[in-house]
Amino acid sequence: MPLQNRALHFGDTSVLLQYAGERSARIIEFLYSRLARHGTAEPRVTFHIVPGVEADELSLYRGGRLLYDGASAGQLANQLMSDSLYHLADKCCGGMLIHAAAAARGGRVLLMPGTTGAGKTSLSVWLMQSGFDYLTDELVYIGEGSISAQGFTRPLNVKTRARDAVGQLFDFEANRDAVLNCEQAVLVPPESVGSVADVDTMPLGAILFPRFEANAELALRRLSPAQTGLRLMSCLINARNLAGHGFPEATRIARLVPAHELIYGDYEQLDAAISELHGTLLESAA
Amino acid sequence: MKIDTNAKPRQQRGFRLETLESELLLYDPGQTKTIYLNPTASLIWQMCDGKHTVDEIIALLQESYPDAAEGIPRDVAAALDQFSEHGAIEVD
Repeated sequence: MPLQNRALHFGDTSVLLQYAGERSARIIEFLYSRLARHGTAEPRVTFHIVPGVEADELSLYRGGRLLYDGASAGQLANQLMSDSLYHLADKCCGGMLIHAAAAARGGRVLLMPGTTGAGKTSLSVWLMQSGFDYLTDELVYIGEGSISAQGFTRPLNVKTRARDAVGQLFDFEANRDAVLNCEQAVLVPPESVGSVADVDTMPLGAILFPRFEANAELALRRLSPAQTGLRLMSCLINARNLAGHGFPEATRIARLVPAHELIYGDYEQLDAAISELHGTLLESAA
Repeated sequence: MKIDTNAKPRQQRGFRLETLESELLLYDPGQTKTIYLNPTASLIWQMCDGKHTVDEIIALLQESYPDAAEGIPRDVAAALDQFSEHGAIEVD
């Protein structure tokens, strides 16, 4: 069975996927169809997806190391996504990689940095249903000296613990043929939820640090540049690869882009915050 | 306050510093840790030059901000404790 090649480029790094068979091709398409196919970086790591020993089974390798072997497309997809993201981030040195969701409106990016559990994916779903275009729910690249953000546009990764909450916004049952399920998450094609940005890189308009707390009162608070810089540093993934550990770059962005902290306890509260967020994006575009 | 008021606190070397409006961020490359200093703490940090005692820092600030004089010893103590906790100052 002939192997097909697919390079993934993000920021200043890339990885190579080699795969065989229609089922593998469908998984690759499901995960990576929204990412750039072309770039100048040489792939640093190669993944292989090949038919397994049993019918219906697939095996995933990185180099010669077996990462997954089994019949679950969702499990393989989740493993491949997390491992490919790790290896794209590992050697990235041309700019900041920020653990963040991002959505766009009016040609400006709303950057939403946050560590795991901050509610980035849930907020992304809500924003898409409120007129924003999806860029990513996980990773953003900002090149050194740039004011533009590139989103790693992947399927929304709805963690198992967030499924009930997101279920208030998105009908998983009605979309069961479109999503992929695994133990840790449901992978949702963003097109099933709303609009996806037609370019992956746009100027930053505003920064929002979200925090979901069950039963919390809504709080939307403007942050000073220093408070913004502090929070950006805590979401910087590739600091060790950057000059000054990314501190000069994080503070540069903190000086240039208006930022807020958002604490919310349920989706209905967000309606009250959205007009101020729109205002901040419009202000930055002026 | 954990630091003697006659001590002369001095900024620890090796920290990277960024001034953002009236606030400061200190970055410790050794511990890969960022420290946020509000405007008051930023002023106190700038006076940790190894020449001024803690008492002198308090007196200088009280002279510059007489309306806030009462709370300044508390603010200085809190800031120095914060710096000390993060290894951002040394005291002879």
